Amino acid sequence: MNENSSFHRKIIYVVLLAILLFPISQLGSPSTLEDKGGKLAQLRKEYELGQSDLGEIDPASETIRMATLGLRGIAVSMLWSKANEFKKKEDWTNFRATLEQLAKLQPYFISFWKYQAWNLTYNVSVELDDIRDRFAYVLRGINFLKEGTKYNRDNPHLLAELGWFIGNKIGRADEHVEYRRLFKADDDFQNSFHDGNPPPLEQRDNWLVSRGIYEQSISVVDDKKKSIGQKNPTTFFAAPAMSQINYAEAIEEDGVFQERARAAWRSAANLWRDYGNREMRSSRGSMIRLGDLTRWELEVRKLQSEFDALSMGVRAELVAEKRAKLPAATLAAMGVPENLRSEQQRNLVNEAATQMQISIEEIADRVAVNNPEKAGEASRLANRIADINDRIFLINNNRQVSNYEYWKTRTEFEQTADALRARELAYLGNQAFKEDADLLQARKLFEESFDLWAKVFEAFPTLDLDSTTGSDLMEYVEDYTKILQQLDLSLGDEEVDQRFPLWDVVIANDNERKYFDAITEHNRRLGLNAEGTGPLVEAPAEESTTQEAPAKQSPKNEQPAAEAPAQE
Amino acid sequence: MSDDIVIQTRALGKVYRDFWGRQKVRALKPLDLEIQRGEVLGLLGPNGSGKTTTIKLILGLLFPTEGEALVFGKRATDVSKNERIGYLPEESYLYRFLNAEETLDFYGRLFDMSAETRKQRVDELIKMVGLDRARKRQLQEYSKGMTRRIGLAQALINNPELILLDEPTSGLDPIGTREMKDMILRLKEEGKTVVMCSHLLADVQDVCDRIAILHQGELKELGRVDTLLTVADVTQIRARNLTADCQNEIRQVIARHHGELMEMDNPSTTLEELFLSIVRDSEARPGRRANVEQTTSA
Amino acid sequence: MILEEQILPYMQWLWSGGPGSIGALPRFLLIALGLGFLGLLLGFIVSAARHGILRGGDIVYRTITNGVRELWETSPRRVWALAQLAMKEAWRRRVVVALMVFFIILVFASWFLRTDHQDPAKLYISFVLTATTYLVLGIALLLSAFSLPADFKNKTIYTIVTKPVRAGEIVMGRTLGFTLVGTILLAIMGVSSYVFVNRSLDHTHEVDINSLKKVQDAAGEYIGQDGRTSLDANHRHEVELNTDGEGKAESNYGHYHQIVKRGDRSVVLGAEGIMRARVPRWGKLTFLDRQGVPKQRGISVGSEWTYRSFVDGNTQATAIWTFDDISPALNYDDGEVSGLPIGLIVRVFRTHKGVIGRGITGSIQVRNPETGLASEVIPFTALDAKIDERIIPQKLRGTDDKEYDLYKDFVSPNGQLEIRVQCLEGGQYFGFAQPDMYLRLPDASPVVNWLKVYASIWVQMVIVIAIGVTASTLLSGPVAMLFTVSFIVLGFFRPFFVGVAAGTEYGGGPVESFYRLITQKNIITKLDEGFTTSLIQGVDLVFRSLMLTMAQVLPDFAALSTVAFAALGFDVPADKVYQDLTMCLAYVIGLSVVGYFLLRTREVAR
Repeated sequence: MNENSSFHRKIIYVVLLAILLFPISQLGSPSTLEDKGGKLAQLRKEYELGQSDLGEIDPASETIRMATLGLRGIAVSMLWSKANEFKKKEDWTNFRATLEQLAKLQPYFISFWKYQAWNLTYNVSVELDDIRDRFAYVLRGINFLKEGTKYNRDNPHLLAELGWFIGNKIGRADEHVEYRRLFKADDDFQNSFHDGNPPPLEQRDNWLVSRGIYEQSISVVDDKKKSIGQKNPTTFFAAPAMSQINYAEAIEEDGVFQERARAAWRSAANLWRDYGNREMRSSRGSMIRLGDLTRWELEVRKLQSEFDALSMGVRAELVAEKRAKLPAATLAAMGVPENLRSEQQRNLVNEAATQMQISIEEIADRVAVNNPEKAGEASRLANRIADINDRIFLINNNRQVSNYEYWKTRTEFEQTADALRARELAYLGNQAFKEDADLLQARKLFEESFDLWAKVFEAFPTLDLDSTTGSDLMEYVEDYTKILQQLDLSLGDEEVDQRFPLWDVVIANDNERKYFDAITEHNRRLGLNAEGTGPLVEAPAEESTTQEAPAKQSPKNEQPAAEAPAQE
Repeated sequence: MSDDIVIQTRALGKVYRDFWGRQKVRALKPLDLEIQRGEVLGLLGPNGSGKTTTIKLILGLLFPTEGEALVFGKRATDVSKNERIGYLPEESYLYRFLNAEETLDFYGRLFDMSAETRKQRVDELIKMVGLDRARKRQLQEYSKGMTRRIGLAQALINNPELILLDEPTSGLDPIGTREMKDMILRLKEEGKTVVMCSHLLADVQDVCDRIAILHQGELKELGRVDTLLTVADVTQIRARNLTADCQNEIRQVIARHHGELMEMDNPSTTLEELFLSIVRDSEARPGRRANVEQTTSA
Repeated sequence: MILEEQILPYMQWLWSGGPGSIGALPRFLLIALGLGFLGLLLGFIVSAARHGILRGGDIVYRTITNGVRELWETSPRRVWALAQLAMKEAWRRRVVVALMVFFIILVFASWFLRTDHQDPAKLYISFVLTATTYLVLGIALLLSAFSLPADFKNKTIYTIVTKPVRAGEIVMGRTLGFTLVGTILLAIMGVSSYVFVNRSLDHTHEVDINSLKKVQDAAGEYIGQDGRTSLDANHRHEVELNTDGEGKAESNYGHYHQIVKRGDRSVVLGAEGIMRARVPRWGKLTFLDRQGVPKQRGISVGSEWTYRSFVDGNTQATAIWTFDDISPALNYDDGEVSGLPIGLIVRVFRTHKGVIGRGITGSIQVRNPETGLASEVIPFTALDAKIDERIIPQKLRGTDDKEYDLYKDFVSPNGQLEIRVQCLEGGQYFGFAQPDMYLRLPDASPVVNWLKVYASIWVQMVIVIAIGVTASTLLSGPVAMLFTVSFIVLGFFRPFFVGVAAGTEYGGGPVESFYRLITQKNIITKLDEGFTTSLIQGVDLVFRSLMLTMAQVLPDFAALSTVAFAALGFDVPADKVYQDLTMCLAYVIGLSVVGYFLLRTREVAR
């Protein structure tokens, strides 16, 4: 009996095993060339989770992960804390070695690459004193990130980060002049970074390399349909154009003008236009193009006039009705002239104003009541107008984020002969001053440059005075005043004042009140009060330079946001 | 205490406790025992009767819960008494990765014997236990009997005065058993004291001077084997070459004296005897089927 | 070389200890006394509970006196027999596998070690030495923790303890046997890793012909060529050739090459100086603050790591090293320069960028601590975080512009010399720790140094074996292993452990940190006042005092390791080696005693 039941039990186990095998094979069978495999294999393919989909498969990494025998999490945590310890104790060699071990253990953890590459490029590099050592660590961080993009081939975030490092760390650091020079000259780095096909010397500019990588990150999104996640598309897609703009600026700083600079700016303008024409998902989910603003504004104006024609007199009717409903006190308050109203009265009037705002829907509803035959048309138009207004609002918002208008104008005017020449003259003036100490020549060159700048402002009236261009010009003005000083003159002197065409720029940008005396003098001469709050000059708008560089994204501090080390 | 008393236990008792100190098993109830020099004492009893516990207490492998055991006048926990003791555990717990020579040499060194003494002694013992041909083989290749023999050899490495044998014949074939018994008798002849425990009564009976019978940790019987086994009201007659008439006459004589004849027939030999004679026969004339049909006492 | 703990001279270490601590020997005796008393008490309590107070006392007394007696009865022959047995057993337990693992690690090391680090030797050396340490400690652990328990399980121990073997001999024999096995393994690993490091890092370059430029001296005379080598092993060197086409590939990536002329080509020879054993002689560092007031430390620049402290530039702030026993014997003279060779490491901290691409300048000045005679300042440019090997010339001008001799005039009669370093640029800082300046004695042999490092690994191994064997006298194999592992792990994190025990680590004791963990409070947040907090901290107090007690016997494995010396190319000081060996001996003795009593009081046949 006993033996018998044990035999039966075994039979049942075998049958159960066989039954379980069926769903397991359905779920788990691997895909082959002919067969797409079980459900898991299909899902893996669908979400591109296979390692071959993510990037390079590294046998060393695979082996190490296997060798941890399921204790990878612990090993990773230990290594992270070791890395922190090494960083604290400034043992950079072991710090890097630890990062490499970590890279083998968690090669698909994106934040790891970002965080530690940032550490190398931004935090470790500044700890070193010799500029070559510093630069070496900047490159090490970049190489490290590059390594990360090999494991995660199609990750737009890593690519964008790489573009940022190469562009902004090298091109915007205090040491950027040396960094850019070293970057171009480093054959070995160029060779390995471009996998043995280094670009020609003029293509090695860090901004151009950065632009290329940004374009790569965008093509990953476009062609491979990768998500950019939480990133703001407005800033993400602007990156290549911004790199090109930075490139153009940078070569002008290096003293390259005329055709090459023009070509650079032209290319920047084209990229910026393409960017404007790109369809991007807005924060509300609808698709917008930044360049479409004018088109929608015209459209809405046209529809509005149609709607107005349709709802002739309705608005006035509604206003009258609402006004009639207002309490007497409010009406009385409204009767008082604005500057004589008391606090309470002001509140009442404001309240009334809000109440009396009439939306387009209200008008459409009233039209439907008044003329039922026009109801359909009115409602359609009202919806359409609301819709387009919404769109315009979004476009405007995003244009502000990327400072679209400014860069559009900037890339255009920088191509003009006047602007190019003006910049070149300022550069030459500076050289004459600093290298040849030829004050008179320098002054002359600067003055010629300023005249051309005045022409540029005239030709591009939409250009804001207090934009980046404004602060660029302020640097020139500063150099100019230094020259004047050496000549025992100042900006406030009548002789100079008469000759100087950029007073508006100086007034708009003098936040530190450096030129307060000169401006006062100038205003006095024009017959205005000393404060400069006269009819001709408006009070300087609030300065906010950060808005003008969309590629800066969220301001980054030296320490990247801490992210949990252990898990991917 | 006289020099002749080799082992003395005074109210020796052992209680096994669990982790919390609660009493679990009373393995040995207070035992008083004296073993004289030159004596072979057998500890008898069923499994779990306390035989092995007694031996382990005497060796100091266990600590007594009460009373004490003295060996050569020293406490059982005193290591120096081991100089004069040989011990063969229940199973030969030896290092299986050593060969016979290495094993004996190793134990010899534990007795701090010099190299020459060791060499000589090892040689002697290996020959004595008949492992000469297997002296270079690792113990893990040994059969049970060989292991037992090397176990005995290691117990004798120091030429001990007192030998403790725990189930010396367990797992041995009849030849092995006999050899073991012969060995014990030889040791006795050499004047050594032997304490052995066994549950095989026949073994004990053959070699022991005295036996102690333990049951459930309690000493039930202690005395000389011959005295213990003598049945006072029975007379045994063994004779050779009696005719049937003679046998009848004897019957009558017994009847006349109002005695009760309990048994008169031809004795059967023991299986052990039979087996041994077959083996002897086959060794003398190898390859032939043994022809031992009718045994007569030689 | 970063040396967070000063290495004391051996005798001082042994008898009196550094400031704020006592000597190693008195410390050992105190601990032994404490432990002995504790053991006695515990033994008495246990046996009294079993057998009553009188008999318990008797048993304890006899155990102790027996122990003392048996110590004298210890027989070297028996110990050696047991040691040999342990070795055979180790061999049988396939200890060779460890060697195979080691070779596999070496073979695949290149997967994980890249040569593009600035100091590949540092990385390679610390990798192989660390790997060796872990591997050897692992083997030591497995061998020692499972051996005795296996004997108990197989009951082979019965045939041992029924021989006149003293319990101490069993412990010592095991320890000795496994130590010998470990020593053989270490020897093989030592040789192979030495070869591995040298072979892996050896390489040559070609001279990059296109890069060579002729160099002329001030008079326009052709004096040689400058250029660079080809890119090999991820680096290049600057090359300087003389007119014959011979010269040197300048130091980069921690080594240099000689270049010789073979035929009409300049050939770069193999790498030199990969492994070095600099022999530093450290002095004593004090500071002057910006007003010139003597201070023990400079100022902090807010770095979390307080190893170095800083002097501010262009003020009176000065770092002053005082060296003892200065004599002309230390002089270095190669015909061109003659003077006192020093090594200097300067950590630069800038509060402004300064001139980008230019180092910060500082000054070195020597001074006689007795007469106050000071030399004129020797300016230098700080090489940040690199060793600046320079020579203080023997002929120096004083501040009074007279010529003086370094050894005659600046060294005080008791042989002391002060070397002062200042930073000359305002707003910039130099950071120093005591080992950042040293007198350079001639380099020692890297091979001997390698041996010394292996000796320190050996010491760690022996300690682990001793712990493992001792633990296994009482515990079963796996438990003994876990016990030993926790000893090793805690030993590696001893400073942290002591920190927690002393209450200097953030986050409180074990219970408090557990509480913080589950309530997701960070380690800085103050816990709410109240019963729970008091309870937690009360329990922690008990835990912490237990930990503090335990910390007294915890070996500091991190401090025993001398891997950093070899990795950074410094000679392991002899004092350190002697200290470690003494420490090892102390552990072996102490643990053997503990092991003896544990084994002696254990019922073998249970």
